[in-house]
Amino acid sequence: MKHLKLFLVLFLLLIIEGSVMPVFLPDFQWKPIQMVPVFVFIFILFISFFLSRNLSLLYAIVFGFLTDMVYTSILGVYAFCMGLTAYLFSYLARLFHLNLFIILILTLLGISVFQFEVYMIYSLIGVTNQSFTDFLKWRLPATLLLNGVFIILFYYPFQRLLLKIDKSSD
Amino acid sequence: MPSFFSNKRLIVLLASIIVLGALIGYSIKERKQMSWPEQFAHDTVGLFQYIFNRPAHYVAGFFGTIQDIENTYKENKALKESLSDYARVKQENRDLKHDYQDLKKQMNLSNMPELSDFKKLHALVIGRSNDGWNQVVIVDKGENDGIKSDMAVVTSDGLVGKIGKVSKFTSEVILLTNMEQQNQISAMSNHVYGMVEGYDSKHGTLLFQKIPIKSKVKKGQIVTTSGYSQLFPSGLPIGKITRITTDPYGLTKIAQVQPSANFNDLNHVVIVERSARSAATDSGNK
Repeated sequence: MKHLKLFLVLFLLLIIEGSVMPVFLPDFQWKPIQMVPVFVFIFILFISFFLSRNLSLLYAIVFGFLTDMVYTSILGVYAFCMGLTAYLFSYLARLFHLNLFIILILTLLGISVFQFEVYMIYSLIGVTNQSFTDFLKWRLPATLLLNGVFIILFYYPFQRLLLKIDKSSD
Repeated sequence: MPSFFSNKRLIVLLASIIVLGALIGYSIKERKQMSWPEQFAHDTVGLFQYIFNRPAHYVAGFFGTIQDIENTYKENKALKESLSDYARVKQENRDLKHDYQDLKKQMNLSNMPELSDFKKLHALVIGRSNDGWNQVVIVDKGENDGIKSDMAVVTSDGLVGKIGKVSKFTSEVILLTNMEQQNQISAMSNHVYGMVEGYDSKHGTLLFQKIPIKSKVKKGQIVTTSGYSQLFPSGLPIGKITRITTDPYGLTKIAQVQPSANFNDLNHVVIVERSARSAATDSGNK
């Protein structure tokens, strides 16, 4: 039951990322702004904050790999980066008392680290030739803005859902 | 965190880096066919993408319609101006076509399909790689509808890319803006031939390369496919030349081409199967 619920939410977010958001995102035609929704990764970070580390690692690898298969042509990059970042941040989260503000900062930091990792691997194998200044200037701020709004909107629903799942599994 | 870099964790990390390297090595070589886990994932996710993508388009389309109404007056005026020539051009076109068919019949060539003839397969874009680095979209037609790898994909404005890997019910389209799997398209502009390959992300232009140095290409000329590549028909518009430079060795010219299709707003696409036979399709049939 626990797995079914988490899987459904993550799958829904995966579909929204790829099939609904591109329709609604503003069209920055030929401007270098890149606004990238990473909702699946946000939920995985939330799992690592509120549920368990191993569960978040499992889902990071499964859904990272699904993202790789469906939306990209290179396998393994998202699975590796999501898994690594979620694992690291579950340790980092134990140092703080979690509230909305801390979660927001931690998640945005996590997204930056995650995007940076994917960027490094992709520029290494030539999927992108975006320069690092372009990455910092055009991609990161817009991405953090979009996902920051998403976190603020969905913090309480996600937290309630995860705490309920946590309680029912005890 | 004293215990964080324990031996066990480091070994797991190293092992996963090796696995990652192996997976990248496997997927970076050019593949026409997906492995069955990929096909399964593509087709299953594709179904849900279709279910969620259509309502999203209706909602977005509603707001788009309001904007359209505002533009109608302006567009109507422009269209009326261009329409005055239409009847004349249409008649001229009909006459020329008739003459052409007659001449062809005289030369006993009437059964040969033209390089520009093609069959159309309409498809809907149901998903898009959202990270901006992988320039890939997913369409709702696959192997079962007769889609094959490397077919040309166009919109009403012009060429947008080619089919990459194909699964049973969906297939992925590699856009012209993709960096990693670069499309090489034999193209021409006013009977000057070259290759469109590479994308300049800073200017948002495609690069029309290997143009003979003495050829006269000008700014504003339209670039189309030449039909001399294996699978693309001729005459699909690619874009307009905006700037011309020479290559670093001074042997050929390079033109920057502003693509005529809008890659950010893809909804309906047409997958093109050319009717003329080529070496590739012949060897494929045997």
